[in-house]
Amino acid sequence: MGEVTLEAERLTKWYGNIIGINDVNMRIGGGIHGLLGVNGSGKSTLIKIITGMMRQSKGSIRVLGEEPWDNPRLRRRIGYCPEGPSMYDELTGEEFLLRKALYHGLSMSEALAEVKRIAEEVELTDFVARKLKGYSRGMRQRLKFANALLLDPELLVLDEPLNGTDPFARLRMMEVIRERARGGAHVLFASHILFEVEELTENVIVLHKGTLLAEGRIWEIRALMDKVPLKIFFRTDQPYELSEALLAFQEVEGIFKHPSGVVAHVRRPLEFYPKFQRYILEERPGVEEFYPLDESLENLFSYLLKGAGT
Amino acid sequence: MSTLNVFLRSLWLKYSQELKRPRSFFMGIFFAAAPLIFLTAVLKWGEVTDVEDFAVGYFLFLYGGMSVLFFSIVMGIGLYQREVDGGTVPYMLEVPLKRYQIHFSRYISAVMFQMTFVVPSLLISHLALLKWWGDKIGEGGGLPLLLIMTIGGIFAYTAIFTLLSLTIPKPLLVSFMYGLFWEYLVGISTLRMKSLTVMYYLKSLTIRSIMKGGTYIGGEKLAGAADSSYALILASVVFLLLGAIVLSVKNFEKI
Repeated sequence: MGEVTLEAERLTKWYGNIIGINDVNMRIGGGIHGLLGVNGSGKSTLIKIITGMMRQSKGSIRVLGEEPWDNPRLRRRIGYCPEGPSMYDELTGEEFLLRKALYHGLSMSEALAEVKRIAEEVELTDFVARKLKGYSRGMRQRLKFANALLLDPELLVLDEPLNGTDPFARLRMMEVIRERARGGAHVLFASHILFEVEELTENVIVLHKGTLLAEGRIWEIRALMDKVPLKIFFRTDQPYELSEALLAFQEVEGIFKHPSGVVAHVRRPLEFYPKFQRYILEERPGVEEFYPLDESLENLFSYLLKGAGT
Repeated sequence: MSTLNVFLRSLWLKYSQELKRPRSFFMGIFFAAAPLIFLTAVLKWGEVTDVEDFAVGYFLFLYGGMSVLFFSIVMGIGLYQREVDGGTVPYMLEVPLKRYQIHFSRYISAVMFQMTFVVPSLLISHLALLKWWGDKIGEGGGLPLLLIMTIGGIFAYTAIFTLLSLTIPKPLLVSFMYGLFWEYLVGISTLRMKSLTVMYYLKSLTIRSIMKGGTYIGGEKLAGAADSSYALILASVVFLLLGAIVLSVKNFEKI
């Protein structure tokens, strides 16, 4: 392994009596790395430690060769996109981005130019003058992502950045991540959706119940994933039309109604995802977002856990 | 860019962000306007028999007790609690400063924000009272002591309440209880432990500012103007440093 982006040794975090992450050892190099795990697996805890938001209870960690806790120098080198949708609703998108650009030493004119460049990159230019209060979940995600990209940090730490984004924004954001990685940035991309991670990288770290379950074994997870049917949720206001369209895919075994869309039982999901993505781009069937439901991922990771003999 | 520059930018950005927040802005307007509305009503329709006593009560309760104490509670608690509740801690901590420096810059911005509203209001009130009863009030230290009372009170209370917001659960409720029962009831009482409240020093400064020779009904013992100022500075520094230490080690686990 050449350059080491992140190095953790016996990293442990307790929340009172509850363990957040347990005795994690890892050493990852440059490029894009996926951090995979269901909600509550410890991904966000690990990310908060990496970004210096939280201090570990035990063990050590070095990010880009530095200790992350209370380290302003490292903060300049990391672009962090947190998980939640919360932001400062009293600000406009532009003001929100300007804050970081100004904190990091740009003059007002340089900061405005940087904000404009990033807003164009993530296709937010039409919205940045609006107050954040009126932003949809997807727009917030894109703005947070833009905030992380500002000033071209060496390491991008993205915690579920694609949650709540529409399929078109998702594609654009993935493209930007790839471009940044090609430009030399390191990316740590946390997600509970294997399909998203798989589109970006084959380097995967799997966390489950706070422990490091697998590292760099995406093929094994892929093989398993094709055996385990997934329940995928599709948010749409046209459930009948979408159900009809979904049933035309041979991987879809059944459709169930959901208050805000439909849920499909999908076999061989990794074959289904690219096909469905193409279908969205061509037919525009009014799908706001789609993602696998956690219970099926929970099953997947339980299988993986048994397979690993842990 | 130097740390001082980042610090000043962070302070200014937090201050201007607060001004853009409608709830904070209206709160500021309320705490600035309420005393003025009360004073206008009294001067227009009320009857004031003891001018000095009225002026002391007016500045002590409407500025020291309300605009300073309660505005500081809202702003001091909000400084961190709002970030925790709103899930914006990662953005608060993305400033490239050490955590203790982040605390100082946020604290000063909160103090500046309160002063923006309360100090002009106090000046208008003082000018109005001077115009009406100029020969009957202001024989003591006059305006400088009232300003020390207001600004010193804001510094001290904001430091106390930011510390509370970092250290205890339900800080807003606890702070209101603390404000009402400890600062209000004990601070203006004749109990000896009143000297452990900030309100006692605000009261001493107000009385010394308005009353001839700093005497007060009942011959109550007051703190001297210099002692009061030192007490306010001491409280501000101690609680500010404690807040900085707490923020430096605090894990925001609900982020």
